[in-house]
Amino acid sequence: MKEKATQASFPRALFTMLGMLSGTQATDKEVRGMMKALPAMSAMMETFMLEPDIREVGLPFLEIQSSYLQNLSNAHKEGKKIAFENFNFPPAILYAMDVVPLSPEVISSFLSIGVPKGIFRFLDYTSGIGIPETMCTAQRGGVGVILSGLIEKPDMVLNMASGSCDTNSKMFDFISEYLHIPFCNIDAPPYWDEGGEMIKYYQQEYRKLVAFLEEQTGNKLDEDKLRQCCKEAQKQDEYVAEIYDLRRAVPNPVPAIFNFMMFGTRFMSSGTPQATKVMETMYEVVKERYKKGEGVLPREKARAGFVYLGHFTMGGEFWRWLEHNGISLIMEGLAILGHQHYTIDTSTVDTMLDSLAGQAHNNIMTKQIRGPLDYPGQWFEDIATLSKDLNLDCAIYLGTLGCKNTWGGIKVLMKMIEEELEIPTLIMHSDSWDDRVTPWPTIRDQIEEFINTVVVQ
Amino acid sequence: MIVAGCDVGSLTAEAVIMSDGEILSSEIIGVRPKPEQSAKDVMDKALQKAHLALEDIDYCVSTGYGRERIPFARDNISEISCHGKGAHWLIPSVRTVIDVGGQDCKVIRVDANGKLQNFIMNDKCAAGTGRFLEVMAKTLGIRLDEIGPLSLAARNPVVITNMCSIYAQTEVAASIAQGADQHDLAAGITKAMAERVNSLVVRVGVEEDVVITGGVAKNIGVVKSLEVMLRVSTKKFNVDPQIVGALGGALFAKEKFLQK
Repeated sequence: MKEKATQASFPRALFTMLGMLSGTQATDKEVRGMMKALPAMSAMMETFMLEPDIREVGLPFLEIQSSYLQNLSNAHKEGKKIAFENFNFPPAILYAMDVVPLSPEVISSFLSIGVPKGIFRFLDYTSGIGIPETMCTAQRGGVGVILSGLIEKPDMVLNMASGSCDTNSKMFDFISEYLHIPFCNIDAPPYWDEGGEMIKYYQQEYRKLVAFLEEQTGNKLDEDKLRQCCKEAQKQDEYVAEIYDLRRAVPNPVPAIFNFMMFGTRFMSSGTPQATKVMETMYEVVKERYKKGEGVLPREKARAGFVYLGHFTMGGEFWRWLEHNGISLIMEGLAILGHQHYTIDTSTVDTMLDSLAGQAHNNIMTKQIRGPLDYPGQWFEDIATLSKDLNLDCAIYLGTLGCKNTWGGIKVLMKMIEEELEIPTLIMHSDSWDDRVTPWPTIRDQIEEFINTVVVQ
Repeated sequence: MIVAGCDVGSLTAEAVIMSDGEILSSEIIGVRPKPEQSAKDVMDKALQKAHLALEDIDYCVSTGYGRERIPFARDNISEISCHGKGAHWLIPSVRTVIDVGGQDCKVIRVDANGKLQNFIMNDKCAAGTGRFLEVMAKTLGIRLDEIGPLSLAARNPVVITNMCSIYAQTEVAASIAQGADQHDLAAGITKAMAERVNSLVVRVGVEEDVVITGGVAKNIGVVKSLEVMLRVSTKKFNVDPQIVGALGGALFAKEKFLQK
């Protein structure tokens, strides 16, 4: 498939559109007008812009998306290097070294939510060049966009959340070989010992990363810049922790879409002032609601926990639909697991690198969904703690068919949740980025059925 | 008090009319293009059989795919709830309900009080649904209701491996071309169908007593194969297993009428 006809226009069109939307100070009436004028993006606008409270966070969030694409588009013109990297690696260190992050999962999610039929043609494109359909969908879509030339090609590959998933890690090898670009692989042992040898090993690997980045960019790591990024990241984490505390309230004051905006912001722009603005605004909105005693829903039919992903198609209807159906989204794995209570010690370069390594190490795909299912503090224990703390009524799994690590343990996890936490569970055999596997209306109907017949009786 | 349940599915529609805990009448028809018409036609037939008029019905609950578009229904409830309810009323010892309909398949777990515990549905294609059998009957050139009895006399069932109805049809066509015996073909088809259903059942687990509802419950070949795979003997209803969803609707109608 050749995409050259649209090669130049694609990123420009998307970031222009996102920039235009984020730059507006639209009223409800104006948003409705834009939705009519741009029907293909109206669902996305409804998700991020229609409701005033959501819009307050949605606009700076769209601005982050726009900047992310614009940075990619301008990188080479500005003499900066682009790094193909993991979504679950906090990119503060890259911003500190003037390296532009390019995460395929972020690109997939932009398109999947923003455009009808999202990443379908890019998934087909990757199949065409030999990437199996059983690999991670979120990666394949973004890789399809990159390899078909619609976005600037990366200059290096950084696999910094090694161990998160075998097929996910394999894609980094592939990209390096396919594009003939250098590859830095941060290794992690296949066991877990919080505070022990494993984290020390992982922290040492971060020194390797810095050396690699210095070699590739020709720049030395600027301590002050790193400190500035770490301080921003610390502020963001504090807001996330504050918002977490407010999730305990009944009814929950955190809008469902804030979960997506929370992890989306973190994955795209952790360490930047823009990200701090989004997190701060989010916290202010939630705090105000809480002070007024307003929940997102006046009455919560069920407090739902999604142990891994949400669903990233149809303009983000997933998050709106939950609330329209009385389901309060209390936990979405990507937004909560591994995000809270991390202190970044900004005393020295070493302490900052150790803190960042610790943070990356604790992320969902690097910790909970990795290796054996029975080491302390892994997936079940973390879900159990959250479930009790946040008073969950049920646990639901949505994933992608390519996510071998979650599929390898999900049935065991759900059985443990049912038996030990005594809450009902639902496993959906769907793909969060590809509605051709199981259509969104089918997923929606089954979740509704589960909530109405098994959870609420 | 006279109550009714109306189940408008993808291939058939059913109506059940009840009074004082007794089934007065029930009907099954093939669906019309619009659910409203299917509901009206099947209910008219059931009313006629019971010598009643629509005005005599105190409360009606609809279920099935078309449940939200039934004008005379005062409420609608999901098929999962209705099948669980109907099956538990007929056989209180039931714990696992396998409903194999025209275009979907569900496995429902209920507790001793008939309360829903868990469920699973096929979520991808026609594999493990009545449509699969329809396609195969057409390929064999026989009636749908002939497949089950034919399969019982098989000596060497053909092996059908594909999950997809279209590819499975290709496998059957290839076996026909190789001269396979019709009994063996029918047995291969019912076994393949049972395997699809079994793959769902094992995901929620089996607890006895087990019943099968829906149109496919009338296919003796599928039922026998499934019993072998599950290592259980399924309990049989004293009513048509295809009306269990509508019956559940009628039972809910009674509860709702009494709550008023």
